[in-house]
Amino acid sequence: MTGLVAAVSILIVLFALAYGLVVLGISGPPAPAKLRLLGEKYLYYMINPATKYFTAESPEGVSAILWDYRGLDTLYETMVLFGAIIGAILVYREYLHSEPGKTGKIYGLSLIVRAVSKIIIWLTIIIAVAFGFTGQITPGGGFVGGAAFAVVPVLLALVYTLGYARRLGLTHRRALLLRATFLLLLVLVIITPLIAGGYVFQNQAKPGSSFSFPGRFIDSTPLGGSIFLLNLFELFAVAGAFTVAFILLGVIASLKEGD
Amino acid sequence: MMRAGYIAVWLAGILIYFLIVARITLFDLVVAPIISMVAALIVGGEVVKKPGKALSPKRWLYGLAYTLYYLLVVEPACHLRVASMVLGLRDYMPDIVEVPFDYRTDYAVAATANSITNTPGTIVVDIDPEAKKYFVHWLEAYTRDPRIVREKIIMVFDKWIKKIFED
Repeated sequence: MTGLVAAVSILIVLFALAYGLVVLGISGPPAPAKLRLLGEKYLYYMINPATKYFTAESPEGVSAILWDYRGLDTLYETMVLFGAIIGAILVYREYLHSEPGKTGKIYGLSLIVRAVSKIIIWLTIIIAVAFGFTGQITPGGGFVGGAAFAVVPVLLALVYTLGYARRLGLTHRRALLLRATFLLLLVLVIITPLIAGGYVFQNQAKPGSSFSFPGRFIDSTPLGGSIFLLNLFELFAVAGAFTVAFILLGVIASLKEGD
Repeated sequence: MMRAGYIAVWLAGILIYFLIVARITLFDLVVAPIISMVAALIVGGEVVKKPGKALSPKRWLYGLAYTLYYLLVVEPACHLRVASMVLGLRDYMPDIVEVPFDYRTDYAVAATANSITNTPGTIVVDIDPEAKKYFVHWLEAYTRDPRIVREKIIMVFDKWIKKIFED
């Protein structure tokens, strides 16, 4: 029964989205015959041998932007994620290859590593959350912050134990709830302009809709409109998602070791 | 008592935020306490167990003074010692020795271990927390007498570390 309800609701959402996008035009005014300035610039440069210092030689505009025009940004974004994974593998290797101590009490990493890790875990959380909160004014953003936050449950589980992470409140149920809540908030940010008479995913005013998310904080620090909210909600959604994945991986690993 | 620990971690986190972003705007003043709160709520109770110690300015001053003394006096002296061994001006006898310690807190154990490892010539290779011993690789292991070894390797740091994390 729940399976049927889920299948029907997925179908309804799909049809509603398709109808909204194609018939109602919720994603913005239909593509005009004349290109807008920003699109024109990208299309002109991305595969154009005549502008040899600007061309990316790629007819795929999104790839040209991602890996050429903002290639460094993509590289560092990838590095943050892989840095997190490499860190996890390194700590995990230490954990797997360490022998129980003489008394059998100390298992895993030494007292020194555990004492220092407490502070590193604390600093990691601050930096990860700060990435999400200040993504509109400094490099970082929601996804990078979420990926950095994902190191926290890994460190907690490996430096201490999975049970310890659970005692601090990092359970997979909570992480799932975190992910679901903030995913819902993300969707809310995306459809808010639509409800206000504008277009889906709209940030600032567009032809035919004067709706704008607040662009500035009280002291005129740029907020980037919806960018601030999207970064913030994505941070916690991604952090929750990675936490679920790592906790489940940790459970599987500890089952294998008979822990 | 427990709550004060969270507050200490929360305040320190706000300071860390401003050190990272290196700017003070109204926006930062609003978001810093929220960001630090997230971190404090998750690990606050673990990072600080005795808030009275964490909130003591006397201990911060000792910490700052020790950092300066360590970086400006102890480090250069050890560098010179090892440099003279490299140049053949001083003899050496590398070996792993047992160094006893008498700390009660994990921060003191870790801080002394890091102090030993960060100075050239000595590296903590393992630790036995039950027997309260470091195993240190030492370039001048002419003796294994625990009292002398302890005197030579950790007494430089010991009185500072105890004033910061113990007593």
